[in-house]
Amino acid sequence: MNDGDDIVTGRSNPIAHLDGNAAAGALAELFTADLTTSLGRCDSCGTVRSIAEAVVYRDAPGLVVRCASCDSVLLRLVERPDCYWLDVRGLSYLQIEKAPAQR
Amino acid sequence: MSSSWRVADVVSARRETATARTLGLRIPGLSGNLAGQHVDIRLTAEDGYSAVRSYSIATAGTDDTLEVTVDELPDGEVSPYLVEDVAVGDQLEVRGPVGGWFVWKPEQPSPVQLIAGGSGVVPLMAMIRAHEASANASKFRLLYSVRSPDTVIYRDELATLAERSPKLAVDYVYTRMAPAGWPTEPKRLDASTLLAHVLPVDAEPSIYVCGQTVFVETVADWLVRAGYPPTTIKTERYGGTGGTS
Repeated sequence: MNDGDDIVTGRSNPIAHLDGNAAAGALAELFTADLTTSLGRCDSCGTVRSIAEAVVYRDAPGLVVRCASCDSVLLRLVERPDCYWLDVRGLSYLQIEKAPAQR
Repeated sequence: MSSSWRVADVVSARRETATARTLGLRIPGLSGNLAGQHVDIRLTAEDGYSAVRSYSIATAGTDDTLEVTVDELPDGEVSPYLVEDVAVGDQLEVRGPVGGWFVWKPEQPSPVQLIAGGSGVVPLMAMIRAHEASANASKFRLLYSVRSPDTVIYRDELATLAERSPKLAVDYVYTRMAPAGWPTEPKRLDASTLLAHVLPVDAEPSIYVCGQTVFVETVADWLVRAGYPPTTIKTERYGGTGGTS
């Protein structure tokens, strides 16, 4: 179903992307905290937003998370049969909330 | 808790529309999920090729079962199998529930405006069900944009709830074909139609928008221009073909 046809808009985006939320499953393989609810600072433009609000491309080989403000790459994750490759150069920092039991 | 792949049993299957089907999954070790979360489902072919897709959970339970509603994409790698082929008693590889951001919790005090495009209604239905099951008395309003009456997912349940529940209102916008006797001609959703069917800015609603990417971005844009604070709008897009691993 392409609901994009059903809305009055002049815009089109040829490359489908998702929210940072869609990276939750892959990131949950690696981290005990839910990184999608964490705040991350874009190293390129300085915007601080939750990872869930970033832009995710999953059609690339691996997962690419980009800043919603300036489109710079924040995080890349590639899974191989024997290992993961994780690149977080685009993030100055992550502010990760503790689960209630950790406080 | 970190989360990896688990084997789920398909415990129920129910046709919703010509293209959508609801599957009940029992996941060993699961102890409930939040309304709005999703699971990843992985299918692996005999040659080892595998495909992973995310599916919104339509329920918000407290035990080891949940339901996903899957809308079939014509060229999909995963959805045709889930809609047409998988049967009760089969098993599926599942990761999650995950995603703590696009969720509604019963302790949230503010009224809620839900805006769905097509099968974007699925996680919003989980929120409606959780809200109905809770003592939370805040107002919920759903705006559901659909092509035609026969593509409405959860049609009977929404009709019953809208009639009986004092805390839920449901509005439909038909974009291609409206039911007989519907007061307005079917037309594409525009800003004025949207704004006529949502809780006003001064009600300070929490807003959840889910649908295809262009739908979500356009609706969010119209809301922000109308004065709804961006921080009160949560969006969930779908439309990527997903990824393989």
